[in-house]
Amino acid sequence: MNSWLRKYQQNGGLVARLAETLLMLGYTLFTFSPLAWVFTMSLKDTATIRNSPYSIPLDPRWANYTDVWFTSNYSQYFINSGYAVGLAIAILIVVGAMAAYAFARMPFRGSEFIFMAIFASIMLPAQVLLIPLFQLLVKYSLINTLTGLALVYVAVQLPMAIYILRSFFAQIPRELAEAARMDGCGEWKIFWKIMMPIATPAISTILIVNFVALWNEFIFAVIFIQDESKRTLPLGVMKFVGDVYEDLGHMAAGLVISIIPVLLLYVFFSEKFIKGMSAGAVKG
Amino acid sequence: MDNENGFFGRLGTRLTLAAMVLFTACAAAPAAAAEKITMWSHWADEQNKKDFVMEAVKRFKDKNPGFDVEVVWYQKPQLITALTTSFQAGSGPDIFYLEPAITGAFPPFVDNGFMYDIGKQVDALIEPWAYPFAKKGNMTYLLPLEAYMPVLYYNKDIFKRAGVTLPADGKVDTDAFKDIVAKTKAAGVTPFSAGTMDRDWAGSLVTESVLLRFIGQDKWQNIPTGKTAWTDPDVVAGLKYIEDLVKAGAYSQGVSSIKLGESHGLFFGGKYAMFPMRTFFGGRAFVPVEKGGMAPDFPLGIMDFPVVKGGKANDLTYMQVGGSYGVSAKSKNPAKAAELIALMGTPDMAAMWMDKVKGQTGVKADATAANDPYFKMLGDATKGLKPLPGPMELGMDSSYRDVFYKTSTALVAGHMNADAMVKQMEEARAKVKK
Amino acid sequence: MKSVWKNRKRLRAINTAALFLTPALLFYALFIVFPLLQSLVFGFFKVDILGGEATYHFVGLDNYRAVIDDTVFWQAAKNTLVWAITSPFLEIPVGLLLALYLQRGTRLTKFMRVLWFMPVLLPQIVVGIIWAWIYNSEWGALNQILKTIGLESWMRAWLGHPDTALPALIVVTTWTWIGFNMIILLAAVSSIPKDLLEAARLDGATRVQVLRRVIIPLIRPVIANLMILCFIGKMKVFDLIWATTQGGPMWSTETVATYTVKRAFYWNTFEKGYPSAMATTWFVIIMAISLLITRAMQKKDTLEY
Repeated sequence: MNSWLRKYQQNGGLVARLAETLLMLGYTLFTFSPLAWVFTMSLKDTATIRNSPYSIPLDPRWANYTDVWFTSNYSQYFINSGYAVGLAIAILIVVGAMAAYAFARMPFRGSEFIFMAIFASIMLPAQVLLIPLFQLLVKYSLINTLTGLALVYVAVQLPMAIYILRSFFAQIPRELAEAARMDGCGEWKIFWKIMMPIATPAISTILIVNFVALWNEFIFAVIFIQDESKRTLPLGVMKFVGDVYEDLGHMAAGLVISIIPVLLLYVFFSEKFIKGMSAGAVKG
Repeated sequence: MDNENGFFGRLGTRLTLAAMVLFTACAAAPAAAAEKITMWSHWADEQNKKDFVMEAVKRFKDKNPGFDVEVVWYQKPQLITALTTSFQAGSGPDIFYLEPAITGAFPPFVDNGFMYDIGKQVDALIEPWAYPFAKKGNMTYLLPLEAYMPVLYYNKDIFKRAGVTLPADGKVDTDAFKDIVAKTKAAGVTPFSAGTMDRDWAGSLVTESVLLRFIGQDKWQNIPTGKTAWTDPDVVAGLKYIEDLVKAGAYSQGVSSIKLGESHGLFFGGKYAMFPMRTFFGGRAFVPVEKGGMAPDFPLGIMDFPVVKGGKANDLTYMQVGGSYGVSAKSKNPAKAAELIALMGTPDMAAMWMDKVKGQTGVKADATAANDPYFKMLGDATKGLKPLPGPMELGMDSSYRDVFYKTSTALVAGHMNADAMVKQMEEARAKVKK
Repeated sequence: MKSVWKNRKRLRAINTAALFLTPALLFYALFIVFPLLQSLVFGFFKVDILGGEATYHFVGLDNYRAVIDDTVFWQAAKNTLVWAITSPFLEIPVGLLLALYLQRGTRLTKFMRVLWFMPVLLPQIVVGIIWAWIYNSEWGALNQILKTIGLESWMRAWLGHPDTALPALIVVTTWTWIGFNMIILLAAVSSIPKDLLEAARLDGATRVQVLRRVIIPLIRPVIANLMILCFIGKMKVFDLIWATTQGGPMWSTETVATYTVKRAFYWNTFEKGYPSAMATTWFVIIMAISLLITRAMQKKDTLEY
């Protein structure tokens, strides 16, 4: 009890502490209430929502969820997103790690310049590349394919991945590679058998950051994918919303369905998500 | 390897990726050998029009057992983007919804060689007045299924409550119309329901019809070409009239944040007195209430736009072909696709269109709809009106049209007054290549 | 003899490096450099698509001149920059305050951290739809709350008025990204040695003084990084606008991204030269701004091994 009180006083007294708690509660409400509201909406039907949009559904219509799942194409959208994102991340990690290792451990004249050039493309907003990339994908028959989309994702996410991995590889003591070379290992083997396993934390970071970014990616997907059967999740949500239009209850259920997988993953792996996202921007 | 990162380690990724690839491979396994016709259409949220189209699809499948038809429904903006990108990519559906090239609402597919001539299958089905919209040169590129014109729907109960009585001939002059707006406002409702969030033309409906009556046919038809100046006194008078209506509270301030479907629903909900809308209104009105439709006992009335005292254009309105279907030039089964479209245009299907959707059509129909109360009301409201090709922005180039839509919306939302709109439209007009 | 051996080693080193770098360089060249150049070149042409084939007519600087005259483009550029410049000043200070609060490390704050980070994970399409409902002028939560607390005069169509639409959307991106900044700042603040803070407190510094004189200077590199990330991120906003206002009302939420997509893939022409000229012009503007920013941050060391 005493230590509790002491902590209180250290932090500015009762009033300040109370104000602080209120503010934090307020912020929590601000952050969370939109999501809570959609959830309550998803358990009502449209008429009820229009009449009393904020009431707690005493008679929850779980049927909204089954309706949406079976009449919409959500399962296909999840699969499509999974393929595009999975492929993109796999290629990204391999290609990015190789390049990052070269920049970190095999410097040559001009390597710094090349790295800066690649890194500079982080500044490029999608719209600058949109039209020519569209033409490119058309030319190589990659338009309207999830593979083509995944390749675009790789190119766009490479700079950040290389940046993160380069910092990481640079920290690995040179003696490790030296020792392996003494044993007669070639560079390629050193890279795959020694460096990559050590880089797992950085890879894990890249995996999580890109998963979140690409799972929700929209502008490239909406221009490069036209077939219904190939829609990724964000595209699917847009279409779904257009289909049910005035049916607010089903619309809300559809929205909740679209975010549940990521939220569930997050709830179980929250530490990893948070550490992953923050590892990229904090050094030392 | 280390397990410190749990499922998200490299092994986890590789497993997930492998699973996904397997999934997709299975999903992409070739379907049965039936031939397929793909169809992309608007009207994702208009159930009666969907039912109509699916009836035609059913008839086609009955006649052609070896064919499968896949219909994908879109909202119009998404449809336009999907069509544009897929045609430029060299792919696209066999059949698709489009609106006549002349309106500029859709990209000029026919001008760019993307359409297949369906004249053989549908020429005999089209109403003569609709030919100009369906043909380009010698080619018939679409079936003009939906036709529309602008009218003012109103709520009879609200009018009664507000003490509004319409003259016997239904022609309300501009002053009387202002009076209606004032009376309905005093009765505690918003006079006009309108929403431009997902359709930028919806704010210009009253403006363009009013302008037609103020400035007459010649000047109205020369607005898109850039010949008619916005500083013309008749144009200014028309815009100032709209400004007066807006100042009297005719529109809700939230016009730009209401969607088209929502604006229908708000009118059906009974808190709005009038609803300026084109006659494809039926697609959203005559569906079950749970889907956003109008209650069957809704006190619907239809009236014409106000007339100008001493005006020379009081008997003019416009008519246009709306939702239509065409066949892609790249289709693998163009003749069969055309056959499907032709099935939509048989006289009995056209009659079904009018009955189910309560909409007008550019296809010859059995004259069975004459006794429908809705069509009677529509006929009465538009009696004696001569339709020009419209709407007003027909033929405007994209930037000019964009400015027109945006400024009309701003005018009715109260963000802009008539003089500001004139100024901005004049600036845009200067850029039009005449 | 030694120099030959050294040269061979160097050659081997360059070869190996080349091997490792090639895939990445291929991606970079094919998907970034080549398209950029193509965008630049297209800008000098009128590019029409006829029946699936592209036809090119050289028009010199006409497209670029038209871009300069294009009021919508400049409005969109202005909106994008307003978004990108104001957001760091909203997201980062709030993120820092939250991070300082979370630093306590109690069970409650651990739970808050998980909760407050959630918005970052949601697709902006979904976020947009939800917030469009909140901002709905008829039955949306914001207006209802204002009504309940007696501020009825403040009720309005938030997304329907050119003056409030952009700020309303900026609130949404802020809502989304505060959590991201907060997490990173939390890690940064946690890495400050505790004795430093203790020492300052013992010297009698108030919490505010500790913040200003000790904490902020120590995490300045992180803050700078976040500001840049935030700026870049807001230049890319598209989904949110597409799902809500589509650039309206009166172009008040039009960004270069939405306008480019409209010109290239939505308006009733298939012409690609003009939107390419627009994209290239925007690219030049961004490069100029980035150069200014990096010049201003020159003293900061971006790489710490």
